[in-house]
Formats: sequence, C-alpha cells, structure tokens
Amino acid sequence: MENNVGGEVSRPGAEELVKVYAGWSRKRLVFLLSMSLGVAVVSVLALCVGAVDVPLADTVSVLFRGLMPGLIAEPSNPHYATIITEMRAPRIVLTVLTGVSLGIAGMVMQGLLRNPLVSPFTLGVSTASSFGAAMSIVFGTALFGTAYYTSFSILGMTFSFSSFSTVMMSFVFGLCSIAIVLFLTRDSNVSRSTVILSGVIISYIFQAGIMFAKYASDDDQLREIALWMMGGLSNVTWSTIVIVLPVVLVCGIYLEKLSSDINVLSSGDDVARNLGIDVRKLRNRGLVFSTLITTVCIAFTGIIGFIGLMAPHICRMLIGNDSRYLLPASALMGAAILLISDTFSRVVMRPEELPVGIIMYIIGGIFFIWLVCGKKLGDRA
Amino acid sequence: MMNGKIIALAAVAVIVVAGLGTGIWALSNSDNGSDAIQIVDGSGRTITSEEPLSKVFTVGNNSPTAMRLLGLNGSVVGASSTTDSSVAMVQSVLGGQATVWKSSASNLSTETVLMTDADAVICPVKSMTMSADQQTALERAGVLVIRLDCNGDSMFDDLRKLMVLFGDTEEVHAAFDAYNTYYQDVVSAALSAAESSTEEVTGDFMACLVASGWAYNEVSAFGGLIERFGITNVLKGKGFDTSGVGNSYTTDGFREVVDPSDVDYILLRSDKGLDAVYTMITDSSVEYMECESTSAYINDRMYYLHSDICSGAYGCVAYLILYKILFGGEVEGFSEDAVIDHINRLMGTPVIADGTVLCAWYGSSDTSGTVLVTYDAP
Amino acid sequence: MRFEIKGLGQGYGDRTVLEDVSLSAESGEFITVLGPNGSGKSTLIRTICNVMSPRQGSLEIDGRAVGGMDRKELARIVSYVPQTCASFGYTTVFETVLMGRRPYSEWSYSEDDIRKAIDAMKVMSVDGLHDRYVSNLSGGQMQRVFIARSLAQDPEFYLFDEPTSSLDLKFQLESMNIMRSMVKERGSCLIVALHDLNLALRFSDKVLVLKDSHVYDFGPVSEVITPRMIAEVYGVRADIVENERGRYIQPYDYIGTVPCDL
Repeated sequence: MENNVGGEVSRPGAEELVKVYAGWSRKRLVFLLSMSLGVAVVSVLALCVGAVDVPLADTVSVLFRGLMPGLIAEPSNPHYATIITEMRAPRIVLTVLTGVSLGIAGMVMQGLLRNPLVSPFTLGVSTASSFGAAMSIVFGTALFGTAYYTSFSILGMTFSFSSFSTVMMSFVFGLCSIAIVLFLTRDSNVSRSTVILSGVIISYIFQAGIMFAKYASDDDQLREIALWMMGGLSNVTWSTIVIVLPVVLVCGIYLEKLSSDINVLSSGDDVARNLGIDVRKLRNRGLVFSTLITTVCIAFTGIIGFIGLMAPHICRMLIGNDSRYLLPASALMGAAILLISDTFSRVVMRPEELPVGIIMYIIGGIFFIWLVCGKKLGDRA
Repeated sequence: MMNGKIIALAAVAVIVVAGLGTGIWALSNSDNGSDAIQIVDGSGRTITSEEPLSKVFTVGNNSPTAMRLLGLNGSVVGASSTTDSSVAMVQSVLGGQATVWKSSASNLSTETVLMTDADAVICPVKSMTMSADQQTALERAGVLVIRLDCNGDSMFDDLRKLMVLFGDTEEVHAAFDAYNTYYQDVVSAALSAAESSTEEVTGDFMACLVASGWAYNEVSAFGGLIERFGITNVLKGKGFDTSGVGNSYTTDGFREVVDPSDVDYILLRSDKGLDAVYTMITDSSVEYMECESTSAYINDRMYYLHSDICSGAYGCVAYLILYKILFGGEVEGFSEDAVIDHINRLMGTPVIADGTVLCAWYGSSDTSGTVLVTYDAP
Repeated sequence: MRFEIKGLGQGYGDRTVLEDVSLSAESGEFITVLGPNGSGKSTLIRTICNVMSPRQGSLEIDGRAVGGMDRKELARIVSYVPQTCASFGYTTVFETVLMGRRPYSEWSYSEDDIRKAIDAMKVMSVDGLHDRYVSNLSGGQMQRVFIARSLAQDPEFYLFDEPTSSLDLKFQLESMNIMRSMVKERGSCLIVALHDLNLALRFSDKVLVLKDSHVYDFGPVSEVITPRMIAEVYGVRADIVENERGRYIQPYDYIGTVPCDL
C-alpha cells in the first residue's frame, strides 16, 4: 500500500498505462485539429468583416467565382473583389503567419531557456527592430537622400522606398540582437541567466538609440515611430506574403523537428546532455531560428507583444508541456488571438483601423484571467 | 547551424536585389499618351492620368477648401478629417453630397476610400497624411495618390495643379482667376497703402508660432510676408538653421543670439484663441523668451494674429491687419470684414465665424490684452 | 563492460576540484563514492558521465574513448541522475520517465519505449503517480521519478549523485535494494555518490573515498571503510560494529569545537 504525501490512489496495470498515453496523444491531436478548424473559420469570418460591409453573398461570389464562373454571379460592386482579394485576404494571411510565428517563437524560447516568463522579445529583438525602424523613419532622408520618398516597381508591383527601408532596417537590426547575444554567450559553460541578462542589456542599449531617434524627430515622425511600435497589420499586400510565408514555413518546420529535443531540455542541461542532446547547439539553433521567424514578421507589422508570452502558456495549461504538440498548438493559438484582435481593431472604430495591440492586450488579458480562474491550476494532467 | 540562416538571408537578399534592379529599370513612366495629364505633386512625384479626374477623396481640411475655391466641390466623393468640428466644417464647405468621415489620416481604411469610387486621393505632403503603405495599397487598387498641401506657400501652385488635373476647363479657370485676382488685389492694395504712407516704420520683428515654440526665420513665407511691410526679421543673418521655416525660441542658445532689446515687434500666430495665447505669455514656466525685456513689450508692440488669416485661403487678410498694426488705419477699398465675408461666400459657409478675434495687442501698458480686430459678419 | 577512469582532473575556473583520480568499474559492481562535503563527489560523477569534459585524464569504455563517442551511443551506455533535477511546469511523471528513452528514439516514442518506461515506473513504485505533474511532487517522489527515468534509459553504467538524500528511511532502503538488484540481476554497474556511510557499508561492493581532491582509497568495502578512514577523512572516531544482521558504524567522538556528548 502506498502511503505518502500527495495520496496516490491506485496502481494501474501496464496495459492501462499504454492506453493512458495513447489517450493523451489523441486528446492533443484533437485539440490541434479543433484549433485548426477554429482558425480557418475565424479567417473566413474575418474576410467578411471590415470598414466596409460586404454582403455575405458577394463575399462568397468573390471567393468562388474563379472556380465556377458559370454558376456564380458577379459581385454587386466591382470594388468588393479588390477589397476582399487585395486588401483583406493578404492581411488575414499575414495575421495568421504572424500569430503562428510569435506563438512558435515564444514556446521555443520558453523551452530553451526553461523559463515561463520569457517571450520572443526577451533577448532584445523587439527593441533592436524598433531601433532599426526608428532610424529609418527619422534618418531615412539623411541616409538615402530624396530616394527615400520614391516608389519603385518589381514585376509590375509598386513599393515605396520608405516602407522598404523601414522593413529592411528593422529586420537587419533584429537579427543583430541575436548575433550579439550569441557572441556574448559563446563560452560553452554559460548559464541561462547569462543569456537572458545579455538580452536585457542589449535591449537597454537599443532603447537608448530609440530615445535618441525620438528626440531628433519631428512631430509626424514621432507619431510614426509610436504607431510602428504599437504594431499594426494595415495595408498588407501579397508581395509581403511572398517574403514572409517561405521563411515562416521553413523555420516552423525546423523548429518542430527540434521540439523533441526541447522536451528533454526541460529536465535540466546536465540530464539533457546525458540523454544525448548537444545542449549548446540546440540552444543556439533554436534561438537563431526563433529570432528569424519573429523578425521577418515584425519587420512588417511592428511590435506585437502578448502572443509570444501567453499563447504557449495558455496551451500548456490545456495540453501539457510536450513540445511536439505544444509548438503547433501555440502557433494556432497565436493565430487565433491575433486574428480575433485584428478583426475587432478593423471594426470597432471604423473607418479607422486601430493598432492591433490596443485590442489584443485587453481581449487576451481578459481571456487569460478567465482561464486562470476557471481552471484550478491542477495537480495532474 | 549557419546553413538555414544563410539560406533564408540569401533568399531575402536575392528578392531585394532583383526587385531593385527591375524597379530602377521600370521607374520611368512608360504610358505617355499625347493627351495624358501630368503634374508634379508636392512630394516631387510625377502624377500621370489618362483622363481628367472626375471623382476625388480628400484628406484633411485644406484640400476640400481648395476644391471649393475652384468650384470643384461637387467632384469630391468622400473626405476625412480628424476632429468633430473640422468634420462639420469640411461637410459644409463641400456642400453636403460627400460623406465626411472622422478619422486620422494614417489609420483610415483604404477599403472606405475605394468604396467611394474615387479616381484619386488628395492628401497633404508630410503632415497628418496618408502613409507610404496606404499609398501603395491604394495605387495597387487603381487609385492615384496626389500629395498637395493646398496651404501656405504652395497654395496657388497647388490650385493650378488641381486645375490641370481636372482638365483645366473654362469654368474652373474662371473660378481660379476670380479668386486669384481678388486675393492679389487685396495684397497689392495693402502694400501700396504701406508704400505711400507717411508713417516711418522700421525695426526688427519676431514672428512666432505660439503652440510650437518657434520663431519664423528668413526662409518662411510668413516671415517674408511681414518683411514686405518694411520691417526686418530679427533672425535674419544671425546664422540660424534654415533647413526648416522655424527656429526654437525656448532654448538658451536663442537668447544668446537674439538680444531682446532688438526685438521691436512681436507677432504671435496661433489658432488656439486669445486666452490660450495670453496664458502662454504670462506663464513663466514656458520660458517665453524673456518677452518682458523686449522692446516690443516695453513699447506695446506685441500682437496676436489668428492663424487662419495668416496663410491659406484667407491669407490676404493678414496684409490688411499688418497694415493696420504697423501704419494705423484701414486699407482703402478693403476691410477685413468685407474680405472675409467675400471668401466665406466663396466657401459656401462661414469658415471664419462671426465674432472670431483676428488680432489683439499686448504690452507693458496692458498685460491682459486688448482686442483690436474682430470679424463682424455683415 | 569495463569503464576505465585514469588520472582525472577537473575544476571550475581557477579552482581545482579533482586531481589525478583513477578507478575502474565493471558490469556487476556496486561502487560507492564517499567523501566529506566539498570533496568533489558530485564533480566526479558529472565528469565520469562526460556531462562535463575532464580537464586532464581519460575515460574509456572497453578501450574506446568516451569523448570520441557519438552522444546518443554514450547515452545508451551511461545514465546520470543529478542530486537535484529540474522539471518545467505541466510535465507529467509518465512523460518525464519516457524521456529516458530519448537515446533510442528519433522524434516520437515507439510502443516498446512506452512499455519500458512503464516497467521503470513500476519498479520505482511511481506508476500510481503517472499523471501527476512532477513539479508538484514531494522531494522523495521526485527522486524516485528521476531514478525511474534512468532505469528507462537502460544503460550499462548508472551514475547517481546522492539518490537517497530526500527519501525517508523506508524508501532509502527500498531504493538501495532496487539498485543492488539492478547490479546483481541485470548485471549493470552502479557508481553512486553517497554521504551515508552505513548505506555504503551495507550495499556496495567497492568504495572510492575522496579527500582534498585526491583519491584517499579505492577498493573492496570491507578494506576501505575502516575506523582509521573515518577518523582521517571525516574527523569522526567510530567503531564498526558487527551483529547477525550485518555491520554498522557507531560514532563515539569527533574532532570539533562543540564538546562531544554522543
């Protein structure tokens, strides 16, 4: 008879335990499938909604006319097609990709640094990217001359140079932050706290740069920097998706491959080494790829917080800590939270489009409070 | 470890380089039909349209005004402005057919603009205007984005450009000529009155934009306007940075260069109303450039001027008021009330409302300010 | 299998913790590492399993250098349980024990892996805790879980760093018995760092004693654990008493500032 602290109840047989494990896997798969379905449904609903009311019949018509031209009537207004396919659809795709990226990056960082309070931005990526964007906004004309205000075309599509420079500079500086962290922590015996501390310090240094840029800016530039740092998914075009999608796919798949090893890392660096994991390589690769996936999105969207920290937490409470399932779950949860927030931000004060963070922090915060109060932080899976 | 990262970076670099190469090659306008309309907008971009514009969306308060002056307000199918009062003003100026949305320019949804069926958007060049991303999105949807301030120095040039964009018809031309002629008549009447006056007016002035804390320098239009009356800008020749039109007067550096006793006239331009200006002057924490040491203050030569009459559609009224302040008396043939009323009628609505204080003076003799000129509608 | 450890040297920064430590271990042996606090027991265990590379000396298993082996291959041969283990929130006992099968799996676990994990849980009596979150368990329960993980790893050599320190008396004895049966029945080799001399005396075959970073003695337990060793290494005067149940250490005096009253 077992008689100890914590009160075990029974000693199940081996067959029963095999079934228990299979049951957990099944439950997690079901969760993933329902989340996928949920995200798909919300995406379609998001397509129907916005500053302009597109009637449902016209939405269906725009979406399916290409497939069955004979059967489906033309939409009642020619602008509906442009709105849905050129304005809303790429925006929704980027929203999903960004939510996915930040969810994945957050989960990976929390697993690699074995710290639930870590987000994709803990190691300074957000400050570094903001610094790049601020430099572009304030000193763009100084750096590039009058070319800053021009547009250029690629394959018939126009881009504005100023947007292009902001994207490039925020991307490059975002990656610089992880390069600096890796350089500072190149000694093989460095602890996790040193890694986190390097990130914090890098944050402060770039913060100084942002403050300087704000100081040197005029009113319009200051507002532009502030809006960029609030994050927003406005005016997305398919050309953005062409760049973001492949990076997110490749990084996401690679990180999923690493997730099995990240699981083992949760037992401690020494135990993980003993179980055959090259801890240093895993950590470095994981950090680089999660930074890449984060930076490629925030270069276009600005800083979108919350998701990287909370999506993995919420999923962990629901399906446990197995990274192989937690990674796609965080991705889908991130996509769902961001999609819902973005849809609200397009509608709540139309025709103005609010920065997505304003809505998301409120919705997300309330949801998390509800989750914590509703589900007693349990003892068992 | 580096492979994945390098591949990703290389892919991005390839896209960028290919794009730049194609872009630079494709940058020139290739569609140059002989009838195509072309102008260079306020940001330096060449705008080409095959046909004259017929439907536009305006952003901000100045372009609807310009459209009205040209008699083209019927061509405005939608507009946006940032405050409730300005939305109401734009609504009345446009005459009620267009929907005017309350929205900041950079957050305005491009869907809304598209649904108005506009061919083009007219928005300011740099301030409170559409972002580069919005511009790209709109142009992809086939809507031109034309940046014209329709205010300040460039107002008449912008009006001319609008004329061209709308096909330079006789009616539009006539409307422009009528307004332009009237405006220039007011200006030349004020200037010739100043020239032929027996009053000796000399000295240095400082013209300030109260809300921003800077003084207009020698390259500014407002500074130039005042100089036409014979007084000199005190900032001139003192080595101030002239890349912008103003220089901050709230810094120690300013006080070292400009001697308060040299400042014979101070002109305070503001749209915040009399009380706000007065508070700013008396509030020592604002460091209002030690105005009490200036010659202007001592000799009662500090003046408040309402911003709306200093530039833009009503800019000619400033000339009348400056004549009154500096030389005393009315300009023959033109009173402020009459001129404002005339332009209000052109606007179709009293943009400058009855009772608006246009000018007031301050000084050591009267630190609470005395109203000099109010608009009294006939 | 034979594990040869020769001339091992280890340190942290400028501090030398181990100097010229040598021992050999073979399948079927239960070796205990003893020594006062700070003598380098934990460091020795960590170095032997190559979690920390040795600064000097060599580690060879059946003539093959450990440093040159593939990580996973080494993981199938040597298992390590540290004194304190981490567990990140919401990880169950079952999943933790299953991690022991990582050296045998690629990305997911086969049914064979799952069954081996279940066997390991049963041996350590933690199968009833299978769905509990490890971070919520008591110290003793956690230690049993981590030993179970080690069992699931199915190695030739087990390296444990004070595996019984948090366990109550019954579980201490039970775990030591399980360890001894692993040695006798499965033919594994255990190298265990202990601070409890009586457990060492009772259960081990050989003992390595560390003092001041060096090996004080290494050999069969009856030869190494002597009153002289206890006095010289621990500063305690004790008798080794024998009765029909076995031998045990009875201290009667120590070298210290507080007067002895045992």
